[in-house]
Amino acid sequence: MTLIVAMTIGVAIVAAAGLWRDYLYARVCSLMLRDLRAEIFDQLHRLTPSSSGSEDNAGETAHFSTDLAAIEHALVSAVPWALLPALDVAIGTTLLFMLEWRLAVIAALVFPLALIGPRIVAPRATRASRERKDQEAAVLRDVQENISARQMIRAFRLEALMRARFIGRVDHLVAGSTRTGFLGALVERSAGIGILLLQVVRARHSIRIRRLRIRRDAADSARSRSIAARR
Amino acid sequence: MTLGPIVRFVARSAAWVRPYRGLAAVIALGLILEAAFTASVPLAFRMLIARLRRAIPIC
Repeated sequence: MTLIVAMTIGVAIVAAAGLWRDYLYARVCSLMLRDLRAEIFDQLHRLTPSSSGSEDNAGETAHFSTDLAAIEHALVSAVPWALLPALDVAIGTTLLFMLEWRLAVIAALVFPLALIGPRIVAPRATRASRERKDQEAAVLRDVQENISARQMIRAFRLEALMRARFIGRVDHLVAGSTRTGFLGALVERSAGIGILLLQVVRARHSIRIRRLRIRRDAADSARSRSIAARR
Repeated sequence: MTLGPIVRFVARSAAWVRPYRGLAAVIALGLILEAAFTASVPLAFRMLIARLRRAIPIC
């Protein structure tokens, strides 16, 4: 009964602390992004205006929109996808070594196995993600160009040409997004496949140990029966 | 996976966190508490089942 009460109190405390931590983390992320926005804005004024004009403007605008969104995503995902799992792994591994070191040694094999897949796929995923960022910047550049030259496009009846060019860029973006999404999922899945392989190995190992124990117990009982029969 | 970009991002993020290190310390404490509780739940269940087995021999 004491244990159940302690667990219930623990759940309440951890839930409350978790909610408070979520709020604090969201606030820290927002404050960090505010600082970063101000830093980029200051850098924008420090830079000398380049001759390439609209192309650079689109790149700078992309820093404020897509690049900052990527940083925000990385910061927000850091706790649920990196910090908390890392802590779980550290505490879980320590506990496992304290409880059953042989099982923990087998379980520790998960680390190299889980890293092999992502090591192969991750560079491609990074490249694909960078290409997608460039494609997004190109789409933004097109939109900006069309907004600023709207009157001229109408006057020279260039709408169809501009639309075809824009659709071409968006199609490129679709291909890039698909590739990035697929490779990103593959990074995660390849780590999962390593873990599944290890579980199969561990299950086989457990079955072997259990069979050995059964044989040993059977041999022991047969031996004790024969000793009893001799007496 | 090359660790370089991840290390660079973490180092850069550490510089961004520096002005809010007090809040970051509270968040870290919360994370440790959460992880410790998550790890202790299966152990608590093991203890609970062991106690139940002792109390009710049929289990």
